[in-house]
Amino acid sequence: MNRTIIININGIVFHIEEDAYDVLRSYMIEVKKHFGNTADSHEIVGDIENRIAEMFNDRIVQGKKEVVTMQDVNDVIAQMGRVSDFETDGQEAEYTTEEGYDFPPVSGDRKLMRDPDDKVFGGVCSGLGHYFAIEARWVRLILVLLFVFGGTGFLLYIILWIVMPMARTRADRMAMRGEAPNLQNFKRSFQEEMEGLRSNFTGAEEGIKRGLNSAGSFIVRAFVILVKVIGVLMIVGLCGGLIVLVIAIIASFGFFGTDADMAMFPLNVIAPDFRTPMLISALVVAVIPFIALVALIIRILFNRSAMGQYTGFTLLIGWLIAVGFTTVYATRTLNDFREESTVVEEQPLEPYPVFHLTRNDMTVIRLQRDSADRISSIRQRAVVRNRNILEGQSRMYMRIVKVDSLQAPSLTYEYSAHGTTYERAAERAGKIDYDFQQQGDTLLFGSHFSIAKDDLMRDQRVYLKLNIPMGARLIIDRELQRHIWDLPFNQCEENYGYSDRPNKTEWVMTASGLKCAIAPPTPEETDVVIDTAGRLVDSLPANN
Amino acid sequence: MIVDNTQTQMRKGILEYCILSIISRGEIYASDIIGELKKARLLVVEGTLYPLLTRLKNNGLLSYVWKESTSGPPRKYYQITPAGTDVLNRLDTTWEELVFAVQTSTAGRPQGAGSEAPDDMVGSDPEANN
Repeated sequence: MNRTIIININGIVFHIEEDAYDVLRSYMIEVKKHFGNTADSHEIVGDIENRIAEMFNDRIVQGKKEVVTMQDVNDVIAQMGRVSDFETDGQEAEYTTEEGYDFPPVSGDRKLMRDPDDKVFGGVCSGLGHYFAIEARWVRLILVLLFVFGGTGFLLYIILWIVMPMARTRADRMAMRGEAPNLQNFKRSFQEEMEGLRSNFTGAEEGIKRGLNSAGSFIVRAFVILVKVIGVLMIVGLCGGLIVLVIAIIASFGFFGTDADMAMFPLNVIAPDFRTPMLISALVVAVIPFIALVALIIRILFNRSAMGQYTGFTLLIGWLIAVGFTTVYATRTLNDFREESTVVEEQPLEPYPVFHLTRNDMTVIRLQRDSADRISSIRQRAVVRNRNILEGQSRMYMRIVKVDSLQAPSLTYEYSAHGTTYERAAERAGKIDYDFQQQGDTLLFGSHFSIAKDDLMRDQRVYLKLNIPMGARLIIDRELQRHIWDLPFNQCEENYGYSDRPNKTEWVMTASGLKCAIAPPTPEETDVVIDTAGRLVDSLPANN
Repeated sequence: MIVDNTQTQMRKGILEYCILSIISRGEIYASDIIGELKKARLLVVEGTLYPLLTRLKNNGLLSYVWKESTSGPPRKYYQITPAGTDVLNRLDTTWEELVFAVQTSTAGRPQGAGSEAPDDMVGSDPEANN
């Protein structure tokens, strides 16, 4: 099967095979070039064209042979004569166009074009290879390395793909390889192609024959089938993953979407009016590589292109656009993290010799003692509270700091948040809602803070600084331990000598900071210390 | 190389003379000229003819008329002009002089001394046309 081209020579229409057309065209170009510098070139070329048309016409039989073939063109050219056979009159005896006939026929002028015969994606690398006379694989290697280290290779490839034209015709391909566009090279190119085709066919046949004849043919076939099965499984897996991904993204979009009240983690980072476009672009960014991967596997396995070139190109363009959108929105979102601001508040505490530090768990809505007399907490996530901020993100952290024994104890709140500007960040930090209560000598710390329902997650944090005067004692609930930095709780717990971990640990503020109030060898002392808390401070640091 | 060049030059000069002679017989179509020249073993490819015809026509030695063809495009039929006939007559004289010159020059040579090719190609063919 051959594609035909319709040409018009001196008013007569011919259907000519594509290859034959290439040869004819190059022949006519040569002829024109040859006669180009004579005054009568137009007329001479017209005569020649006219004659060619006539010869074609003689060869065409309506209803039987309606297409001009390569054979016809070759015959006609043989009859008309090569340009090298043309002898012009005396003035042009020295006019020799065909100096470059010797091999290799390289004109030196190469064109930078994409090679459709040797391509992975767009034939950019092989085109570059032709241009610089390097094997395409080295160009590919360099580009892949560029892609891996820094990612510029990808951008470069895209730009080159857009800039470099595809070498569609044989003449283009020869220009790309730097071969002079004369008839000899055309024929050579055509013959090479035919031979390549033929050797491909014979090669395939041989391969099949060898595969079938050899003793290991069964193993070979089994292996091929196995590979294909694995490939199909991979495709199925990928498609499954793709569907799950799409459903996940669409679901999160559909259920929580633009509703600011209900936005969950990844969404609550994004401003509400960005959410829809960002979700869509993220979806496209995620989905297209899956499709490409599936197509690639199909192509590798079955040696069949799963999608047309234009489809692939469209997908690539779509992907790039989506990446662009995602980047823009991500940048704008990141921009909202640029400035950090911290708001500090200080609250005086009523002084007590002993403080009981306990935690109010904000993530649990009820605690319940079950019938089996074992304390179990039914940890029901507080659905309404803290919906728009992550548990780990919203946890309160505190330090316990020593102040002079004459000073009153106090609590310092440090609220911090991010925003586009310092003011915006400060405003956001001010909106952080954190609950602390002093009930007598009990200090009740909220485990987590919360942010306003319509506020976005902007790295809000709460640090507490509990300022304890020297000599004061602290009894710290175990639950609160993970909110406090820099205290060796494990060591202090061991001092109690219990088999279980104690529910509370006792600490005392000394000149060198907070120390465990319990001495290692004498666990009985615990009760005494608790009872006489606060007044026997001087003797205790020595025990530690 | 020099032999090639000499042969080419010889043939080139004779070709125009032969074409004029052929056309002088009567109105003729380009591809029929080719046929005649092929018969005379003087020309192998058609492409050579068209520039020559054009040049002769531009010098006023030939003219042509377009004639419809039964199949294919219209054809150019060439015929000789009075000026062409005049030139042809003068060329006839020149050719006779040349034949005399060649015969005189080659007369004293020993026969079959490897000089067949030029004799055959330059000598005999134009004679046939004459």
